[in-house]
Amino acid sequence: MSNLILSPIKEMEIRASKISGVVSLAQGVADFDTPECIKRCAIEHIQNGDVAKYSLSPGIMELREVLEVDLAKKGIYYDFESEIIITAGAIEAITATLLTILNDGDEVLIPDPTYTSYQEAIKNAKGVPKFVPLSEKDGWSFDENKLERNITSKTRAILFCNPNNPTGTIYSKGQLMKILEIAEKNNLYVLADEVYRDFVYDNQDFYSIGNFSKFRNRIIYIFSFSKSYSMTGWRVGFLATEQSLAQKILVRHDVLVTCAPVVSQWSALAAIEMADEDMQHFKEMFNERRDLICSHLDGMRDWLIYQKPSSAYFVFPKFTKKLVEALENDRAIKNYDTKDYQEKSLSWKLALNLLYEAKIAVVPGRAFGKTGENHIRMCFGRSSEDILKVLVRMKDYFDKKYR
Amino acid sequence: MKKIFKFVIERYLKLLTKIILWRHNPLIVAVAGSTNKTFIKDQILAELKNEEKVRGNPRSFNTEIGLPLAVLFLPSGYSSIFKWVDVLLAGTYISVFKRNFPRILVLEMGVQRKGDIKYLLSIIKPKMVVISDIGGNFSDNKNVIDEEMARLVSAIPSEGKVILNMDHDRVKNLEKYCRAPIIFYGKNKKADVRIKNVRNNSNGQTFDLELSGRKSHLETDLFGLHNIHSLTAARVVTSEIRKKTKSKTKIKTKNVKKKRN
Repeated sequence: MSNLILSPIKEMEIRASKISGVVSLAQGVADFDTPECIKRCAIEHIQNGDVAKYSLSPGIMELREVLEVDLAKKGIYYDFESEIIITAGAIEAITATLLTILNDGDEVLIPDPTYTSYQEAIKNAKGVPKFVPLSEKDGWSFDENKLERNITSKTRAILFCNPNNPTGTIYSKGQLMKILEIAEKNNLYVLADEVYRDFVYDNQDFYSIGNFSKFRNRIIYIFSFSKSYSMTGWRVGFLATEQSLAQKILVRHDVLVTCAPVVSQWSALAAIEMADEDMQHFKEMFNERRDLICSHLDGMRDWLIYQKPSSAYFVFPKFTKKLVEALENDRAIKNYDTKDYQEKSLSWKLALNLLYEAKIAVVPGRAFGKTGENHIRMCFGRSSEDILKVLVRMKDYFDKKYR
Repeated sequence: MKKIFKFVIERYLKLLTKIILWRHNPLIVAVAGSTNKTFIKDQILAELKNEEKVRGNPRSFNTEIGLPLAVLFLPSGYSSIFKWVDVLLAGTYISVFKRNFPRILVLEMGVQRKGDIKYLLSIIKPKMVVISDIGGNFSDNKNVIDEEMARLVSAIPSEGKVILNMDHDRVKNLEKYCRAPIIFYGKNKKADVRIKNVRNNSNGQTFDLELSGRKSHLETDLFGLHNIHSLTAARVVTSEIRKKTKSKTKIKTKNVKKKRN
């Protein structure tokens, strides 16, 4: 039997879907529809009969070519013919890669906290996820010593997302260089999921792993159209890596999905060519919502403290000592049809209390790793109205229950 | 209604384009093939920008409406009737009255289905064509694209030039449809313009090129043979344009690092 568990993010959404009147900031989904130009292009290709058949396994050439050009503008160089594969979202790119590079029992280092599905994707490939705690006090940065200490003879790869989900922080150029040097020294692959790369605020510099061409033989660059173009439902992304590895991953990709949905591939092409303004608009709106959520969290300092996120659309507040003590004495979780590990976790306790008592959905920090315990993740990609509703209900809840 | 509107725009733009091309008679270079069109076109434009009055089409402007817009140098009205009225009025002025026009047009020609080339050739008459590669996305449209490409090369007059990638079988096979002289490029030993000594490193690729009896060593930070093919194709085209326009500027064949941006 599989030891995989459903992503806690999805579990929260499923639980929330069964309760009337819940407002969710759980799953990382923006409230925007896909831009009109993308939808128009999709309709045109459907009507022209372009989408009924499989594409070539690596994806339609038109999209791969445009991606090569687009990446080159960012200083990232890959050959579209042999090094770029269109996938069914980033998670399929990660899954296909892990299935390719891992043998049973191989270890993959992942930051703690990080995106919940990475653990299950590694286990799915018969690998073992090993958490490397990030340093919260240093802006959730990688500690290179901890990273090196966790490397064993079985370590095969390092997998992370940059900007990081759930912390909304970015890794500096220096940190990325260190990670790559450690990978080079220990012959590891580096998988970098840059799905939030287009949402970096305050004019901060963002360095992509793909910019370090010296290490291209061990880098797997991963991107999804889901967030940048509000296309989570279209399931389309891509990976880029050196050609000999790309050709091996292609075999796994073919086994998994044959090809990414063809209508989504044409739509992704339209996104790159036409939807830049829409993406910029999303970014501006997220920036405003970031300020909104942070200003309201400021009013809950008795319970939650946070670091202002510099990217993505998540804030990851930490419980104050007062809230920790209150939750330790709270037994309400017994009523919520939970598993042992959930009952032992304060972040699960709070998330479930908020869901069943305040009718708001957030994600327990424990879902992202041990270091995420005593935190919750809130998505500010949702509408301002929903964000406000959640914050008002949350404050009321804290005031009534724990004050 | 929408179909009628589109039909009217297509026909009017076609008329305006024919008028402007008749008035100015520029040298038209068509860049065709399944991929790499934009890169080849951009390279040609970059190499000629300081010596010739030259213009190309934006990437997505290579269809029935896009190509006339590119020739007239106008934006699309997208789905707005009002914007289209503006576009057509501006187009009328440019086509009938405007005096300045480029001497050379480098135009991508996109093919997706049967009849595309016939329609595009009813608007423009290229004197030179370069075809980079032919590769279908679906197995059942291979013949259609080959037929369209054959139609394109056969339309180039005998005083023109057809530039073909000899390393691609389906491109090489177009030879039998050509009236105009052919220049083959590629790694193939029989190619007129030969690519040699392709090497990869973490910074990109290096290669040697033999063009018009001169050898040059080139570097690019782009990966993949298709980029070397594209750089070569652009070199061949610019060399031929210079011969045709009797430009005094000699082709530069020293070490040049090519960057996409």
